[in-house]
Amino acid sequence: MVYPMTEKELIRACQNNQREAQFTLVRLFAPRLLAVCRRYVPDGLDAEDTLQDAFVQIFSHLDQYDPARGTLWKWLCRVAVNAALKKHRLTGRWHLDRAALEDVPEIADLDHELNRLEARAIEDLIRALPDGQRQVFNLVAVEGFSHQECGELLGMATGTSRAYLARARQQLQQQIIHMETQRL
Amino acid sequence: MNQDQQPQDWRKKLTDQQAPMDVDRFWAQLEPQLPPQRKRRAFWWWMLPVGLLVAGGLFWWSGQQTELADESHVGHGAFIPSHSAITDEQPPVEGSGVSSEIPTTSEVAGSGSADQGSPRRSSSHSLQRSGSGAQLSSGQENDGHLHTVSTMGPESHSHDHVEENNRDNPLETRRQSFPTDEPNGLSETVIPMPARQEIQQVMTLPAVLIGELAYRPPALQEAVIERSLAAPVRSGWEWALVASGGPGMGIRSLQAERVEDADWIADRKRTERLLESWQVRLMGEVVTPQGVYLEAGLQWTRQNERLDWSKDSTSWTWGPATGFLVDDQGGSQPWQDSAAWSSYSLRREVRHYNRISTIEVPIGLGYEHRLGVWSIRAGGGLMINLRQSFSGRSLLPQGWPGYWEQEEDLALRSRIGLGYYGQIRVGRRLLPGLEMFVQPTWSAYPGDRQEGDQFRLKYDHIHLQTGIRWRLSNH
Repeated sequence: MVYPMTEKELIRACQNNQREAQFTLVRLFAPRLLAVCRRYVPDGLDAEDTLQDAFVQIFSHLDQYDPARGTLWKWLCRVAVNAALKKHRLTGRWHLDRAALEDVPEIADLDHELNRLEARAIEDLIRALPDGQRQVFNLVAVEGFSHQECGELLGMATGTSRAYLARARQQLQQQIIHMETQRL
Repeated sequence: MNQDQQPQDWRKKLTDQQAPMDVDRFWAQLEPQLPPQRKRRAFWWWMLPVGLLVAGGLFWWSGQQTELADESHVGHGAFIPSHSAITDEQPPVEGSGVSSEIPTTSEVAGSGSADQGSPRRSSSHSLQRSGSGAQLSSGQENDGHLHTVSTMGPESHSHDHVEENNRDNPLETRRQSFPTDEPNGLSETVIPMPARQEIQQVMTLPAVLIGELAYRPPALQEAVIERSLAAPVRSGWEWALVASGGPGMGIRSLQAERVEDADWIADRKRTERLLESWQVRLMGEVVTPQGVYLEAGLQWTRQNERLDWSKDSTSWTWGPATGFLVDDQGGSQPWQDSAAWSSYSLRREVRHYNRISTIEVPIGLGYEHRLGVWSIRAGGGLMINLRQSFSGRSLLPQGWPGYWEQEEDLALRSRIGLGYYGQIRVGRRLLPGLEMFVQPTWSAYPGDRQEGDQFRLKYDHIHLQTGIRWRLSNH
């Protein structure tokens, strides 16, 4: 017999600063959020510091979470990403020539190629991307943010975000081809 | 979500990843940075014993008040004398024949109320009651006339009180002297429900609310949240053993028929006052993944009820009449007449406070929907009534027509009864497997036989049950 406590109840308890509920939230989501932080902050210790900042923000601003605008996980993820980006001053220094977009061909079968790889291999490929491309790819392709949300988080224009994503996909495609060539 | 995205397994692989970490150490570092914890719950934990103390005090106090009220009630000598005042002066006339063959006023009234234990009243009581009824009416008039209390002979079909307006010719005019709607009559007499029962009624809901507010020991809270978030609402078939119990309230309506003469002695829709009850259930149930459940088990119900109604009828009778001549000074002397035609008005007064214990086997089918900590189920089925017993006491003054002594548990049912029921239950989870609930139930027994098959009853029972439910299941 399972009577689930609702997400709403858990959030309400956390808002009331009930330690048991807060600890439960941490225990449920911290490992996944740490994985998110590590995608943006490669250093392990820095990632945990970032996650602590993120949880302080989460418990301070939990009343701003609106279920109508998305799931709890997405909101937590957004706060964690924001904390990571701010802590490491990754925002507001992105400039890309829109004309460069025209040179980027559409990569149709990248998803198919990535599906064949293990998670660790995919992480290695993403980690090898240049900073801007990596952040945009993580935000848009992995976390599922829109280009507008990504632009807000990184302090860049929506078009720039699209360009970085296209370039990241192209780069990944080339890396996969290179990897397979080496294997052969 | 990005509209350009296609369903991607690789993305799921990444987002489902969990980085290895020491959560306890992480929490130990994080906790000092969080705002201080609120201490509100401690207040409620203190309120619980305080509430119990207050409740206990109220019960004790109400018990004292009830006893005092009972004592003062008997002491209403001016209007409601005890029957001993009459019987001391003149013993009851035995062998009149009526009492042993024809139901007395109280017997008819008592049996009409379905399960009030009418056969347990002695025939000698009928005369005693007659005496007290007459004396009561004598208190109403102060014109020097005598008032006669009579008991009719074997030919009579009634057994009543007679008031005589003419001392010289006591047989000329007789009329019923039951105090009814007259001043100082029974209908004017305030017969309160015992204060203890009133308080029990009022306290049922607050007790449940206090339980709701004070629950959740901190140590279990986290386990509840974690388990509930981690597990699906319902997966696969569930087999469960359920124990539940708690207070409730209910009313009954009934239709009672004497089997031997097909006389309907109680009308349909004679509803009693809403009074408290207690119920304990032990059930087994199977729930499909879709939420359809099948349940069967055993339940014991203790239903308190109050009957409060009267019915008038008039009849003519022929035969010897015996009784007392009672004057307005309180004196009396025996009186007898060999034969006379008289009209008699009969008033059936039914005022009982009863406790009915029932053991039933419900077998039902229904649907349950769960939503977060809430669950709602609706269903119905057959109800097998294994045993019904009764105890109670009359709310009429001692010595009054229809009065009978308090009675202890007596089995009423002469055979197993078969009925049906429908119910809705709204529950709220308190802890895993433990929930509080409110459950309105309707049950009906269309052809129940009781008291050695003397009476056939049809009754409906509407019952609002509350309580705590503990469920042991395979999930």
